Amino acid sequence: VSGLTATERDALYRDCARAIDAAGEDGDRALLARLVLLLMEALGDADRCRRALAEAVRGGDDPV
Amino acid sequence: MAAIGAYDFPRFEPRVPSLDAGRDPVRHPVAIAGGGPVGLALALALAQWGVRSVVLEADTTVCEGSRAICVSRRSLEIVERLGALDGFIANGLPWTGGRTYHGTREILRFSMPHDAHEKLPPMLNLPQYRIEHELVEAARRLPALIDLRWGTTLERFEDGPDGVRIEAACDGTAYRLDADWLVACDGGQSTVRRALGHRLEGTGFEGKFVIVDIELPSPAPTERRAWFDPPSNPGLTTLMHRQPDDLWRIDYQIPDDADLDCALREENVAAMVRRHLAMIGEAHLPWRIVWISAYRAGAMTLPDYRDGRVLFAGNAAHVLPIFGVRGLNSGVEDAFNLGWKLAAVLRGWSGTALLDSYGSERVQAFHVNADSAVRSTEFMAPPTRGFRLMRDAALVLSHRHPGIAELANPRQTSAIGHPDSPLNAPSDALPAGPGPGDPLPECPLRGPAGVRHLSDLLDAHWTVLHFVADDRPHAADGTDGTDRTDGTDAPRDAGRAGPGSGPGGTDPAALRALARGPLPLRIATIGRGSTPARTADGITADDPDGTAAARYGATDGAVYLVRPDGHVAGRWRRPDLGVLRAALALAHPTLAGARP
Repeated sequence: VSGLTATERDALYRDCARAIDAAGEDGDRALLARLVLLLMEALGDADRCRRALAEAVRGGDDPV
Repeated sequence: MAAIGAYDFPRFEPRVPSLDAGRDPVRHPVAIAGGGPVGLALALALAQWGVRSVVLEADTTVCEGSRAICVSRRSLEIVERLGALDGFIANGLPWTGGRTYHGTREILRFSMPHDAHEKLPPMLNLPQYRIEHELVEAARRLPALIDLRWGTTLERFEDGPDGVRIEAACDGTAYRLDADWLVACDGGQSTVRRALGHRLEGTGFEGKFVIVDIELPSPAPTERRAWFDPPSNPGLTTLMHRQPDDLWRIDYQIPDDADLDCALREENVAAMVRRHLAMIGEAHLPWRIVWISAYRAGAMTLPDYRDGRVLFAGNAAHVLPIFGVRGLNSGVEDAFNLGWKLAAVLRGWSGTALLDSYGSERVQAFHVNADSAVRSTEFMAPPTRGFRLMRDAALVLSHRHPGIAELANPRQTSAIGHPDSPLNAPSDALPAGPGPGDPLPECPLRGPAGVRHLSDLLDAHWTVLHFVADDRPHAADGTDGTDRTDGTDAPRDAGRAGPGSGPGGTDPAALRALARGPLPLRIATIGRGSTPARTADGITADDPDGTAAARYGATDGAVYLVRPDGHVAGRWRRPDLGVLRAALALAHPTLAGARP
């Protein structure tokens, strides 16, 4: 369950999009990798990190 | 255009007034350039204050083409106050939500705020030609106050210290007319705005959309449907809305580098419509194209909505992206905000500072609207690589994550408050209810004939909503240090009592005296168990289960002072008359010293 309000999520989404644009094609992958590491540390829950990674790898579809 | 479905387009005769040496001998308090929804709403708002206006409209019928179709609850509230609601309700299609798809898979069902307290639906679909039709009918019922001049163009104008001199033309006859004020309601390509050399400022977007209206006897419900990356328009976005008259609106994105002229060719549009109808299982139905147009998103405004004796409203003042339906709706709100203020200035009750509050409130509202509309646009048609990457990731994950799917919620327009308005009076903190500048939330009440909701208590002018514990006259008793709710005594939260809470509280006799003053003002008394009644000074309504008092955070003696446009000017626990007079004086300083 997400603890984000709709307004917070909208704002973070927009901030991420702008950060990707600012990093440019040369820097955006490094930016996203750094963001993943920071969010993993902030979450502090290995199981949830693994599940999120697995889902991101699958592309979000239901597990087969 | 002769007809669409059951609707026949009327034709209005161009009319040149009786002239005196090429001049309209009647001086007009207000000339309105443009007889679209905003100009007509303004004329009706002025008429409520007994102010005459002349509306110059180049066309001789209501609008054609793919224009606005979604009327918000706030616009419907305004339309009701303008005396045109019945036709909207009779002909429009109410709706409360919609569905969003990724490909053909549903990822989100959204609902707009709606509950049993509301009188009006959150949204009503009515095409702009019918919107204009209903407003024209309402205006034609007031021939002494609204002079509709069809087939008449504003050629030139000159703004002077005493008024605006306008050169108009109708059927080959040029004539001059004089007005105290000119209001530009002449749309996004405003002649008036261009003549004054003003430019809209803001952001344009790359996303390009084709808008097509088709006649289609589809049984699908009235709701907003949006498809991201559908098979009929891969990688792009499509929207579909039902309208009356078996008319359907389809908006579809085309690639940024597409040739627009080519995209707008009927055979290309028809091919897209065929693919779309096949996708939604309606390929078997007969259909025809009615209108085709193009759209490119932008969020732009004038920095100020007044230049001397010229004012701007609607698309002449600002343009907004279509997503979230804020174009027509914000224009109607402009008109209703401006109407009473212009009337008050013409009556000599206010100086031009009141008109400047129109600009500051509505520019502020533009920014709130633009922020929401731009957010929707960034999702519908991502403007950059970063937005595209995030949007596509969100769509993929939205199948299993309702929170992420919420990013696709269009957040349709809702009424916008004016928290920083110069007309907001210092007020008390209350546990619930609208603050200064906010519009009024709706609530059912039991009133005399015609009053079933709180909004029915309002008329064209100022309203004092006076909450009482019961219908017994409330003595100005010097207060016993308690606020009574439901008959129980509770300690008074003295720390939260604001500048308005005078020790004497609100004396009903004093309120009646206020109502008999020079400013039109109605006293609306709301009390649990009160006997519904109409008197010379106002209305009394029963709040049977205390819902209104709870929603407004009101205890015995609480007052909301409501502006003619339905926004709160101030609210207090137990204000004395001086507090109310001071609040009214913010809008009407020339009446401040007046005593009834």
